[in-house]
Amino acid sequence: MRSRYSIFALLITTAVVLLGFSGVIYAKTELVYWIHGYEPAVVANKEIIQQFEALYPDVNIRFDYVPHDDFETKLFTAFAAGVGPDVYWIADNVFPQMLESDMVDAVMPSAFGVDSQAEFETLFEPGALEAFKVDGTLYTAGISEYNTLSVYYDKAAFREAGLPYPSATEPMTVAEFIELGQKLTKIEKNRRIRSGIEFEWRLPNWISQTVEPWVRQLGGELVDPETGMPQFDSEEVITVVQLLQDLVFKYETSDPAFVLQDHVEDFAYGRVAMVLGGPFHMGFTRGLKPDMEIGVMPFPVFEGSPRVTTKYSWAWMVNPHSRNRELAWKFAAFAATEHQGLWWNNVRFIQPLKGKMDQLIEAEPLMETFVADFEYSKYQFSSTQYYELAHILLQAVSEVTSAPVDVRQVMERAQKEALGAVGL
Amino acid sequence: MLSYEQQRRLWSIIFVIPAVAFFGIFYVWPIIQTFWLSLHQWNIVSVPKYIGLSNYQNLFTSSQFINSFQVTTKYVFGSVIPVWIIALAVAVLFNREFRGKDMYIMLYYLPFVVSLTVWCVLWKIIYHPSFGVLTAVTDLFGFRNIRWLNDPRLVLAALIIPNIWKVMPANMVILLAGLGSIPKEYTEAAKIDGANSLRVFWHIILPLLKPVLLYVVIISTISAFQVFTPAYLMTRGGPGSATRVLPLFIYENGFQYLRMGLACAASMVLFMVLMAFSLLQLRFFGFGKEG
Repeated sequence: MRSRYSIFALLITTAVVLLGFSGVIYAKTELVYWIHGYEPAVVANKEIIQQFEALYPDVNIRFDYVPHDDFETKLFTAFAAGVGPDVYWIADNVFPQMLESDMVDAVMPSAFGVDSQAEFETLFEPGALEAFKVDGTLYTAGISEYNTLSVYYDKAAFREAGLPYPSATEPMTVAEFIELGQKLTKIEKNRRIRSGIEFEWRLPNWISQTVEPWVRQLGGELVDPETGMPQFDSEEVITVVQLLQDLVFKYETSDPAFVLQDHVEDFAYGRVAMVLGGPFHMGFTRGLKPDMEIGVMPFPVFEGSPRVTTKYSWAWMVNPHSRNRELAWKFAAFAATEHQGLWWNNVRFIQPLKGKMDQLIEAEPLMETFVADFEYSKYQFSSTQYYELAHILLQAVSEVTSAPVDVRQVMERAQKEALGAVGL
Repeated sequence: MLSYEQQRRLWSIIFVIPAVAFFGIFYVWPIIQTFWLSLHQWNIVSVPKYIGLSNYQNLFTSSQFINSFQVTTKYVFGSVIPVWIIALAVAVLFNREFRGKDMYIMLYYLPFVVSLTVWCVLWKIIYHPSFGVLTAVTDLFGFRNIRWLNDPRLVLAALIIPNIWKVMPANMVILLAGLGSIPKEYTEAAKIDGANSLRVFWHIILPLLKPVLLYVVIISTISAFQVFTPAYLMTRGGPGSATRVLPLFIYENGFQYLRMGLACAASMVLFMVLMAFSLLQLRFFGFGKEG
């Protein structure tokens, strides 16, 4: 009886040891991958992960997504705690901070099947990667989301106002844009029913991306690219901020108080006739209102000024301290360069792979405008204090659009704060 | 062999240790660490660099910080004083028997159990200048086009009103419990001696309610100073910086601008202010002077 128990115990022990060993032998290599939350992108990523795991059965990718507003905070705190993800997305505006904090790895060309960084760069549209390049070194695996801002318009609102649809490729002047905005604004019994033009008034990066291309059209800069010095009290910036104030109080085409939560959501529900938006907003708008008739026109230009538009992007990054650095690059390369169709068809995220932009127009006629605007686009300003500067600008814009106060005075105050922010 | 008294003492220490350890690890240690970080320049990721009191110096010369401090102070006094008065008045009202009393208490308590995020979104819709319920009401009285959340003169009040509504019920229930614990004999004796309701309230109820009132005053003041969610969700500190309260200033500096040292210094200032207010309130209520 006793020996039977002993044999049974031995068998159990052997089984446990064998199982344990098999676990060690077949333990999968884990990669942690984080993106900001956006449902279509989450779905697409899951599909890519599945494909990658099928190609590399010994790899397990732990995928997580965080709401947009909290994403960078979580990323920084994770890196601070030494548990940063192996692969992740970041926007070009936080890249300088990330680089300064040693959170981004220089590109590994072999992961893309090329010999050098220069060869890797040829895979992309010229200038698409420049926001992630410092002193000749590139720090990205590719762009997940390439954006410029053009103007979406509601065709039904145009028809209702008896207005012809604008050109899809030739920009109108700022004056024409305002006039259109006034005609499309609907105010009944002193109550606004529809705004002609609205922007994303709440977020610092959006305000900066709205103001900056107009400032550049006038020959100025929000932040001097050479010295890093803010130029918030320059004539060009004051002119543009004055324009935003006039849209609210003089022309009454816009009202930040009217935007309920998100300007594009208001657009989809017919509360706004024209909004500034990126290519990804097509999917977002159609998701909210599938039958909406959307048009897109180029970013307006100041009379007599050159055409300048904005550009920003999100990109795949690899953690330089990843324990599986090579594998991380392999995965990033797989996600970044082999699924343009999936990204475009399912997410409406543009990946600026060389020679592929025209295919986007074939798939989606509205892309014609964005592709045209990309030609004149310039990346937003780069600074390790990007958010602080953009926030100071946002506060100034918010102040002048909430009350008819003196714009120059507000911008002079903003400039002092901005200089303080960059330590000057 | 330990004596009974020694054993008792040992066991009491053993039972107290977990609570003290919890308090030490999760309350005292973070405060010490915050103070330590406030003496450093730190961007969260890199190694903190000691800079002495520079963060404090920068704070007190920063117009943004001074503005945030002023906004917070206005918000706190604008919120807590009405909360105390209304909560006490409603508690006194409920401290008597009438039909449907429990149902009314439940209805009054309802806003407190609603999630703060939902509450803020709801109020944002209520305040909407075109579609908001409040707009419809103000329109009836001829006040048109009121931009509650975008007018720098109104926006702080627009944050205070929902806060009063939300916080008042919890304070009311605490005060009601306090009122319920006052023996009826005291008030009845005073009435027999000819005291009217006001005198009974002033000379009997209020002094006996002092410990509960003190609790309500301190807790509501502390929570008002820590306001974050309404300012973040409803206005993002705007318009301009009209609602940029101190916790929002701390959050932005710490987690968006990565100036964690400065954020910690601002947190320490907030901590000291709260401490000072609490001590002042304890003194005002004569705490520790009684027999």
